[in-house]
Amino acid sequence: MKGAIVSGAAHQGDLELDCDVVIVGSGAGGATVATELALAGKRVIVLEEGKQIPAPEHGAMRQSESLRHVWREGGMTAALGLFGAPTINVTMGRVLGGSSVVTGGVCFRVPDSVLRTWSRDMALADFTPEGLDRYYRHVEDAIHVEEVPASLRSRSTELFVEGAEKLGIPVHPMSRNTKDCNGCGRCNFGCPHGAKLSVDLSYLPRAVAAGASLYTECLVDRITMKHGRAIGVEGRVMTGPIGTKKGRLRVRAKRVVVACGGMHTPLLLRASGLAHVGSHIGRNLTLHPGFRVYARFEEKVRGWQGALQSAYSDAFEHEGVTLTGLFVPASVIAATMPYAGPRHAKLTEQIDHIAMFGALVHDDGGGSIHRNPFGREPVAFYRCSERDHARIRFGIRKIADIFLAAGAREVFLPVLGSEGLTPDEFRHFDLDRIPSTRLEAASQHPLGTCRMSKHAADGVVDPWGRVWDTEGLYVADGSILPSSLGVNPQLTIMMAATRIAWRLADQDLSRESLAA
Amino acid sequence: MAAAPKHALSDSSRRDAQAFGEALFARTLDEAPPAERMRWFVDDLDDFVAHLNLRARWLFLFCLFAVTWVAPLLAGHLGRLRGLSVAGRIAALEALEQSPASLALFGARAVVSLVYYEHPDAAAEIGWDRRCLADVRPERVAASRLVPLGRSGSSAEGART
Ligand SMILES: Cc1cc2nc3c(=O)[nH]c(=O)nc-3n(C[C@H](O)[C@H](O)[C@H](O)COP(=O)(O)OP(=O)(O)OC[C@H]3O[C@@H](n4cnc5c(N)ncnc54)[C@H](O)[C@@H]3O)c2cc1C
Ligand code: SF4
Repeated sequence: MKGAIVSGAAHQGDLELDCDVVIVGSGAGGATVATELALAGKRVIVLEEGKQIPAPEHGAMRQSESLRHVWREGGMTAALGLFGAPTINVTMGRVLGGSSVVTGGVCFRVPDSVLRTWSRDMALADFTPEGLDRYYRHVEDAIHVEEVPASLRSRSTELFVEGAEKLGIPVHPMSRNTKDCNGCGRCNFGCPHGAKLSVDLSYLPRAVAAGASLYTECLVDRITMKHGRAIGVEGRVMTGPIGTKKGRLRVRAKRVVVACGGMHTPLLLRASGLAHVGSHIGRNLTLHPGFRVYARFEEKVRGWQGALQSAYSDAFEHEGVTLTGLFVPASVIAATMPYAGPRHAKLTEQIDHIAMFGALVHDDGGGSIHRNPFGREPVAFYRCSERDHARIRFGIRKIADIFLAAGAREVFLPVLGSEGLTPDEFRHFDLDRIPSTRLEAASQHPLGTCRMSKHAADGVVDPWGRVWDTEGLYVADGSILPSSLGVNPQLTIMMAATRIAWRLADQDLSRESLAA
Repeated sequence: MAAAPKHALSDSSRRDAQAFGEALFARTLDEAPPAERMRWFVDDLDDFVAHLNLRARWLFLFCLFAVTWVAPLLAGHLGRLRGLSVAGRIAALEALEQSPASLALFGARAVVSLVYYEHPDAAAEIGWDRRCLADVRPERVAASRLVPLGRSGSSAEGART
């Protein structure tokens, strides 16, 4: 029987539903579990706080309109830096398909060096390249992971590659989950061409075809527990652009899978009275803090033309830094240019001469997520290890060096209010003297806040995603990753979710009845 | 898209945002951008804020407050930013940028710039062709982009080993 996508905003009254498995969150993790379980014949319900936005509608939105309708908090969420750490802008999607809808499409497997620490130091024995290969391959097929051809590279990326070649630094083509991409460069605001195979296009339609029902604009407030077992969820049917309550939501289920993402899953577990699980809920937040460097060239670069992310360098993996291609809209570049008035205007006139690249830090992290007493969105704190402070500066310097080798006239470092530096000024610029609190940092990867562990004392879920000491409750999203990866995580989150789903699919739920 | 309440910004906040935008985006020391563009900017900014949840709204308003009141103080003036000439406002904003409160300016500037540079004339001034908006062909969005999902490499839909 075919399922359906039901808009909570269009639904009248309360919602009372029964199913085998209820999944909270429809992003990379939730959509994967929902689809695999529906295909395995389970009666699946997915509850998603955001609304559905079909692909062509993305093209009708300006970037700032996309922030209003697709991104959480208009893209303004921040993790507050503590003890000298930078305050980091953390972005997420709030839409059917979750953050997967706004990715650059970049797909990486976890580097072997990271897997070695998981299997050796954290005793997660199955987490080896060979042990995970079949799950990875399955997801890569489903979302069509392909290499970005050189023809789709932006001039911005080409310049970076030229500089890297001069310095002998290897750069590789990026792999992305795309099919027939035309390089229009809009990926972070939803692909209007349906070329980026985010889970709303690659997974969820298949879940619906296999009988799953997806409810959008449905916010889950807590998991219903009975005698240490999860028996369903409760929440609100929402309406309106800022999510006003419209009706009560109650779902009874034999299994509950939480996939709200690294910032919201710990909130939901905490709100559901799972104190017995231990102190790790909401701790161990890693963010992969990212830093961009702009470079001004004599030629017109128009870096927004071409795939946003088409090349990367892992040459500095041992230093905890991955260099990755990126480009942000011209309006965002303008926002980060210093000064006001004519001096600011003069710099913004140079925007079509700007190239950029990013450094993503494989952080030790140590951030945490807390309930916000005044509202729904969490309060996040972030701390940096000494090693991370050094990695940040290393990454920024490397990109600047590479662009200068490519002939850049000026580099703009991600320091609040700083002006462009000529090659000579950069050589004398002491980045170590700039406190990290003055650095402009962004993250799209909140991870680790309900981490997986071999022993209950060390984490929140077991190696198969089941919440420790709790029956019927699973987590399958970025929050379960045991550490930061040093590379973009969507593929790994989907791999882990597939693994959890296949194990869950093997459970015979037909003999179990729903709790009253 | 769902309609949001039209005015999330009070009249006073709208005037503060306009004064901020006029200084930030001025191309000469004594002249603000065209009035029609500023009206569009303030209306669209209002719509942007109307779509934010309460916390993000308060965050923006806090940043705007810092720009409105703290920036003039740092430039030696008591009163709102909008009480100053365009040139005075520019000096005040640049003083705020060099102060420990620069993060507030950064927050406010990020939001207003995102909106302002989407006005076609403002985009043209910075050479932004916004090509990515022009090239959308809905018919290219195939109804199904799905490859068969089988477990362990099997291509049979739903097949499980
Ligand atoms: C701008 C941007 C660019 C990115 N680019 C890349 C990239 O190129 N490559 C890559 O690998 N990764 C990228 N990422 C990261 C990637 O998208 C995420 O790591 C991944 O989607 C996380 O999956 P998840 O399932 O943990 O959470 P999400 O995909 O964020 O899904 C969580 C979902 O749960 C919903 N939800 C939360 N709480 C509730 C609740 N209480 N009730 C109901 N629903 C709820 C949310 O609305 C959301 O839809 C990017 C992210 C962003 C924001
Ligand atoms: S660059 Fe490719 S994947 Fe990105 S939005 Fe354009 S068509 Fe879609």
